[in-house]
Amino acid sequence: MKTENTEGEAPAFIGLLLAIVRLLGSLRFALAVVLLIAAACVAGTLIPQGYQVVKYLEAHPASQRNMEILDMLGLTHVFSSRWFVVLLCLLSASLLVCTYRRFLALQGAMGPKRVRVLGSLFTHVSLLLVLAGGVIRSVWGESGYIELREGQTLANYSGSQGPAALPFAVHLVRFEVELYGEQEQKDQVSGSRLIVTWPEQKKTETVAATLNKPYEWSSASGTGKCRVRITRYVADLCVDNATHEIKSRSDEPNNPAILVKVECGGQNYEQWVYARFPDFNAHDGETRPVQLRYEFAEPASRSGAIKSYKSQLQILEAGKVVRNQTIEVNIPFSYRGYTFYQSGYNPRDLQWTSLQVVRDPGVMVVYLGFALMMIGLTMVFWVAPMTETGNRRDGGVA
Amino acid sequence: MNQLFNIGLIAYVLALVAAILGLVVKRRVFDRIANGILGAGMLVHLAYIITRWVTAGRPPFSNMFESLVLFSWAVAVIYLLLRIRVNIPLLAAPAALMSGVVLVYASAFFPSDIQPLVPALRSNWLTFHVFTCFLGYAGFAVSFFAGIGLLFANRAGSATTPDAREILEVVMARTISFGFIFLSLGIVTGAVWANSAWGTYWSWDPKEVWSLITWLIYAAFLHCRFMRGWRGNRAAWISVLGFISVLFTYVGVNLLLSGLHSYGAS
Repeated sequence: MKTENTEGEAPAFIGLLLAIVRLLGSLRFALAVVLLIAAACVAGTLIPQGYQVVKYLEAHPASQRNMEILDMLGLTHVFSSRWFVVLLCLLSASLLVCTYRRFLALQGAMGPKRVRVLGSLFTHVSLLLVLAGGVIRSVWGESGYIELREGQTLANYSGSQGPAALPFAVHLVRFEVELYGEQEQKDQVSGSRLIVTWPEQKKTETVAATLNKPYEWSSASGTGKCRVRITRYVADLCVDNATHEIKSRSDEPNNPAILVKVECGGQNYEQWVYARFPDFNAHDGETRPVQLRYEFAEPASRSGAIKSYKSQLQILEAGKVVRNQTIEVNIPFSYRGYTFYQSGYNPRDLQWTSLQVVRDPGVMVVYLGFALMMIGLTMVFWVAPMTETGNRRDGGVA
Repeated sequence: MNQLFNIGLIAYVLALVAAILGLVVKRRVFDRIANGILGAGMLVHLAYIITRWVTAGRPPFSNMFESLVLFSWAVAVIYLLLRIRVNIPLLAAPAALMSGVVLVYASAFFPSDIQPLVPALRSNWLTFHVFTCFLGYAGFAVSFFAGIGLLFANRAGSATTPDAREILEVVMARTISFGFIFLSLGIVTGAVWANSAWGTYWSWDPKEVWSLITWLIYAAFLHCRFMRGWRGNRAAWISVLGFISVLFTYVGVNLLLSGLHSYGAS
């Protein structure tokens, strides 16, 4: 009796398994999962997520109840919710079955069809690799931050679960912020305004203070055209004591000024206009046909002027320096599986640097997936159609 | 430099006029004139991009104005490349219209000043990432024109020839295939760049997520088209939906949602 039951259950189990595999391998199922993932992604970008919820509720306190319902449904943390992970698992399962089917289809395929099937196989495997790389990172990867002051050495970092130890120590030799030079900063002037006033005619014109852009007006008094052009911008104007030349003391706009070339009322001259000292006009008491005022627009963030920031690091093992390395944004540095990224700094104290520390054993799997995806897509949409066209031209079978 | 921008814009407007005339009077000469002017406009537009690149000392793909200029140019290029292979006068007008409208939108709503790059954008990946994404977007734009054309042609029924509808079907599928390769390359280069700048290749940033949504829509199109043989209105509607997603990924996310790509909004 017992044997009969087992024999009866086995085909039923296999039948169920085959039905599941058939379902996972169907295009309709794959499209349904893709549609659900796309819908989840839309929700994840339009509904406030994670820390944004608090900010949103501060601005819209009446939405408390709605937000609670969304939270219960997992819609306020879509990309870390279990149901989203389940969707990704279903997509992976579907991809796995499709990959197997393409592998089987490859056996009998010839010519352009073989190229197409192989490309398709690569593309599906690539997606599995990218997803696998993500899983490897989330299970075995580590990430956190390390904040260092010049001269300081640390052998741990702040991870998501608290302080975590590094198998070596990191020492910050020097941190430096590189700013754009005067020439490169020239377009920052454009946020500011130049105000031109004709005192006799009680007329005023306001224009964007853009370098080298000529402005022209007809004079109401009939004295011809009036032309104005900003020829130079200096962020922190000072006069060199030795050479008496105008120069910038620093890149900070402590004393922003512009040099304006004026052709007006028969006069042709250049005049420095200071944003901080609008009444200061050193022109030997000569009467000018126009008065100039420079309204300097403070940059919303000084980061706009920052070209790069760099940390000069030393790696120490057993108290000895084993590596010297300078890192900056876009130029990370890896040592023993840990990669250090220049992530930030303290604008109030430029001796501090903030580094991101990442150990991601899955990144190469993801990159392999990326490479395979591009090879696969090129084979499917480029190589295979070209081969088909070539075959048709040669009278072969496409 | 601004003169090149204006000449390019005028060329697109003239190409649009010639293309519309060609459609109305049904004379091939207008189609040729439209393509010639569009080609000339595209070259002037390219000269503007190169001049801006030289002046700025960096690739001009770093903000909304610059990317719109690139998008407008890419649409003209993809359309002209398509015309070398396929005879489809119907698409000249929408290509010229989109290139022109995008340039007008760029100059009317976004500052054209050359701004210094923020540290995160100072990378060679900027060129690869933005260029590949916009070639993809341009491919999808042309597929959108073909999709709209197909919807109108199917509605007109016997008023259009089966050949014309077949050409639109082929153009739609091929430009989506082309766009899909380049969008994929754009997402891949963006991920590799993000990993070198921020230590993570994917952070569910709104721009990334909407790129994924767009990618999924076109992946669905390609599966339906090549595995289930979807054609006609059903396929055309997916093409239209895909391009709406492209527009939201590009413009909507920049203007409405904040994230790691926020510098692209200005």
